Amino acid sequence: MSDKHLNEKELLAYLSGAATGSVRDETERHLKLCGDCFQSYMNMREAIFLQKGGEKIPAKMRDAVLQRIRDTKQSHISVIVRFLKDKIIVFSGDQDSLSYQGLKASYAFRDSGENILSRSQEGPISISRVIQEREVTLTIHPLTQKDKIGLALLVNPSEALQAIVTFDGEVCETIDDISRQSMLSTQFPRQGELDIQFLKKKETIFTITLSLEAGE
Amino acid sequence: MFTNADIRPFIAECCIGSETAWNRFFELFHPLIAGTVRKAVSYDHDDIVQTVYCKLIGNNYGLLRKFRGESFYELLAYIRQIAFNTAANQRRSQGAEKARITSIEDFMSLLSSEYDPEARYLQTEVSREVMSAVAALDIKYREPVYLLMQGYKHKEIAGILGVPIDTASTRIRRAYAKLEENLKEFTVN
Repeated sequence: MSDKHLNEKELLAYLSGAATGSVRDETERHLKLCGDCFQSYMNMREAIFLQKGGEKIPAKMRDAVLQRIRDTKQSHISVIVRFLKDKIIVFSGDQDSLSYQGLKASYAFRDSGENILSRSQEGPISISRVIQEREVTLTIHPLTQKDKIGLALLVNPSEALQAIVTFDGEVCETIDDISRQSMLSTQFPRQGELDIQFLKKKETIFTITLSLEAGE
Repeated sequence: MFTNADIRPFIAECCIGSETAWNRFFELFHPLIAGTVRKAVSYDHDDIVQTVYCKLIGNNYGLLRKFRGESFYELLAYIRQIAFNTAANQRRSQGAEKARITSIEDFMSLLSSEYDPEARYLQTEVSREVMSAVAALDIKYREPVYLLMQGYKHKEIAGILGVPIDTASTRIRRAYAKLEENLKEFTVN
């Protein structure tokens, strides 16, 4: 145990008293020798203590934060695309109140519309949203390589926008003019964060984030 | 309480700006954010807490989207670190001076001083010899010394360690004695 850092499960077991006997002794020995793990352990203790403090956010601060969230939506769209065994669920940030369980239950058997799409056979799926007076359509294409997807971007009215595409923090593709090239050449894994920044004359006009999640 | 399976969907919903998810976020994490800021600085708590939220929302929820953990406790630690870093940056921007602790007298004075939110900031400037003496303590004595260095009071230390306050005070007293013994074995500049 001393050779590698303790993981969170081991730290929690020690902290909660669930670790007993030789496991407890070994954990304690490691904590004594490893400054990093001792720091993580104490951070965990402090965080748990502070989190249980019960202090509520003042109403004024809560309202200000929520207003900032609403403002963010003016120039940014976030969409979660969850690939399940027999369907794809799409959650979008431009719905007023989003309940994960509720939304899933409400739309679970719909086979049309933007929020959930059944797919006995995989085909392209389009998600359209209006942002900054433009209709943006993202089309997700299944690929022969099953764990990857392709993506096409369409902005209406057509306009010479530049698109910078980032996947999990790494820039993977830049399109100089999406009115001339709508299909991205990158094949994306079905799990990760896909960010698309749309620019006009080097200024960001709006951004879209697709959170891709591969489920059961 | 969240299960680990709830974490990724919860983060994703916060990142799409779901107000339902954010109200849950406030319930779960505001005490942690506010408490961390209060421990780190002695002024402008509300402004700094608000700055923490701005950071979490800013850059299209960039910090939240960077979270790669899978469990509630990892998320707790992650949020706490963001709150702490924000407060520390605020201190730096105010040009706060660091004190350097190099002697046993200074160190014991720090530990026994009245609650001082800046104590955490001093920690990085405690000399290697003093830190070595602390590191040589058994875990049950090192825990309260570490928390004293963070500026926690005895009652809070008892809460964090999950022991009665008398037990915490006894451990602190014994920790002092052991620390003095340990420090004799180290060269103090």
